[in-house]
Amino acid sequence: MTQRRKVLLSIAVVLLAAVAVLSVFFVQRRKADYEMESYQGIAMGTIVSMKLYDEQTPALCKQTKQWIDALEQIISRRIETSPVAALNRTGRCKNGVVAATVRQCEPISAATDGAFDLTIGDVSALWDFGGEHERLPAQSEIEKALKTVDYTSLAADGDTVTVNDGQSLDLGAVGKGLACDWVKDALQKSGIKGGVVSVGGSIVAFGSRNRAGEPWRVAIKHPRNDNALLGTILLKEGFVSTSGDYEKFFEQDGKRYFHILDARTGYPAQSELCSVTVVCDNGLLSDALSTACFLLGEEDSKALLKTYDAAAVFVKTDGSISTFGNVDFTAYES
Amino acid sequence: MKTRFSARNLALLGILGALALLMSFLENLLLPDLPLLPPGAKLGLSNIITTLTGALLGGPAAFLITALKALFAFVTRGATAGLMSACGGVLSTLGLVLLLRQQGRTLTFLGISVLCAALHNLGQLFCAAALTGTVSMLNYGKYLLLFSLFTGTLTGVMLNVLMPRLMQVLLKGEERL
Amino acid sequence: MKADRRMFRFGDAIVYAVLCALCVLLFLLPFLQKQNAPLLAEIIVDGEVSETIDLSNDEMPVVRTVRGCEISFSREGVRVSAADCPDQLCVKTGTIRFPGESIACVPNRVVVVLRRQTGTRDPYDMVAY
Repeated sequence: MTQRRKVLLSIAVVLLAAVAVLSVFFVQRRKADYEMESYQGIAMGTIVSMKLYDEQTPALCKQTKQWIDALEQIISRRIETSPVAALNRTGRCKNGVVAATVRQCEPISAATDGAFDLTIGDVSALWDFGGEHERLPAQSEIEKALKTVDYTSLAADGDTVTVNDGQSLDLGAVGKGLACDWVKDALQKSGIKGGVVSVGGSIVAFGSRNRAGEPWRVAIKHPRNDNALLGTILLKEGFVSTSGDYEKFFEQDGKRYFHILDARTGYPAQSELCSVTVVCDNGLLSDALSTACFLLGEEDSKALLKTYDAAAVFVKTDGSISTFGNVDFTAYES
Repeated sequence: MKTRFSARNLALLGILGALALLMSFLENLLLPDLPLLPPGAKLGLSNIITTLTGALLGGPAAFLITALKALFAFVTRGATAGLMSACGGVLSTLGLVLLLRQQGRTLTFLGISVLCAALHNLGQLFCAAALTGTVSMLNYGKYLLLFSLFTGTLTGVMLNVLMPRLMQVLLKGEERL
Repeated sequence: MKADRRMFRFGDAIVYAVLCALCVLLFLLPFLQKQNAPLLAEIIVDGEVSETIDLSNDEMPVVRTVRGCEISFSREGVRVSAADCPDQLCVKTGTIRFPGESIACVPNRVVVVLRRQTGTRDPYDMVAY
């Protein structure tokens, strides 16, 4: 081989090596996560968990928690100064958030034939799931409270919301999902590359944790085994809410009473399901739908889910798992 | 390159061997651990000898010297040290033998020494990684590599200056060793 | 072997170029990794992780003795405070503070590595319940 060829060959080898090394470098860089800020705290009476990702470590968790606190000041019926509490006392309130929520939930109440009903406040108060006075109310008490349950009397005109005398609004079924909507809007405005936030188990995920755009992995808690997970949902972005009979419940005389109440009967839902997880592009809806689907049961849920272009993972009390719609769910081996 | 199995060459080998051990010993004595550098980093003076041997007496001779050094390390500093020396030494000497062909044509002892120093450290690093069963050891690699660039330059320059004059002396009147 | 009066040739340049490039690359590698998460120290014995200590946890043990190496932990880093090996290289390494750094006591086959807490990926990002 001539001298010149040798030189060219060596240069070629060096260049090749450089290219190889650089490509490995860049591939690794793409797969490498952005800087993460993580947080665990309490807000809205529940556990809030956040993982925020950006080129530089974000410093938004505390602020995000404050947004959630701000929302609670609006929608909590236990906070005396909230518009909802005012509504429950006086029969009317003026608040854009409450009004929008009422409007969005109305079709769902209709679709469940009233089983899902925001005016269930008086009944919820009797049971007081998760509260200090959690108990099994007497039938007569429930029947009395049921009289005030009627979503058709709930009206939202502009920002003004009105109910009938004695009616009581309880946004507990949708509050966490709503918080997720708020969180997403605020965080996306901040421009960070991605994040996943859990507000009491309702999840919002947007962006990605790395340059490769890897989807988020949201696991679903196992309905019967506290330490286990059912499986993982892969999603690029969206909202995930689960309704289950295992979150807030008590047992009496061998029967389990859990916090998902059927507004038609005033008693916990009679369903073959023990857990429903809904994936949707709106937080409030994912939360409302998960409750609604639990109340409706698997078959009847399908039409509702389709209307909202949502997907779901159903778990029956017998342990069988099924999915509906466009959701990438992988169950773990048990 | 082929060497004649002469008494003279054997004697030369013996001297070189002794020198290699002496260098090793001195290195460890004077500079047990350079303050800023990763532990285990050595100046590599004994590598001068190995390279010399390879250049003057050929590949097999160089391997002999390497084996001798490893044995010395084993006896004086323990099995681990011996094994590390062997790994680094073998890899380095392999490189040496391959590169020596190019000496005087495309390479001088500078390039050879630098590469051999790097290979020696690399061999030792892999050995350490294998012994401890971890991959994380390899993080040392970049520091050792940087260091070997310097030590290799040092030994290489010395060899470049030394060799032509040495050759003159050794080849007095003869064509080859 | 040729008697060669020249101090520097083309091949030498190539060797330097390649090794320097490699060096630069290796030094850049940490910048792929994230800097801010809490540190974990993994103690690896005979190639297997025998224990992991969370340096951000207030209740972490201050000292662990493994196979003759006395390892000291603090919020900032880890060091081997004493060892029974002949070369004492592990002790001389001093304190390691950054993920990826390690201290090895090769004769005892013990390595302590620092890792970032997020580096160990959970199989999920969040749990819905």
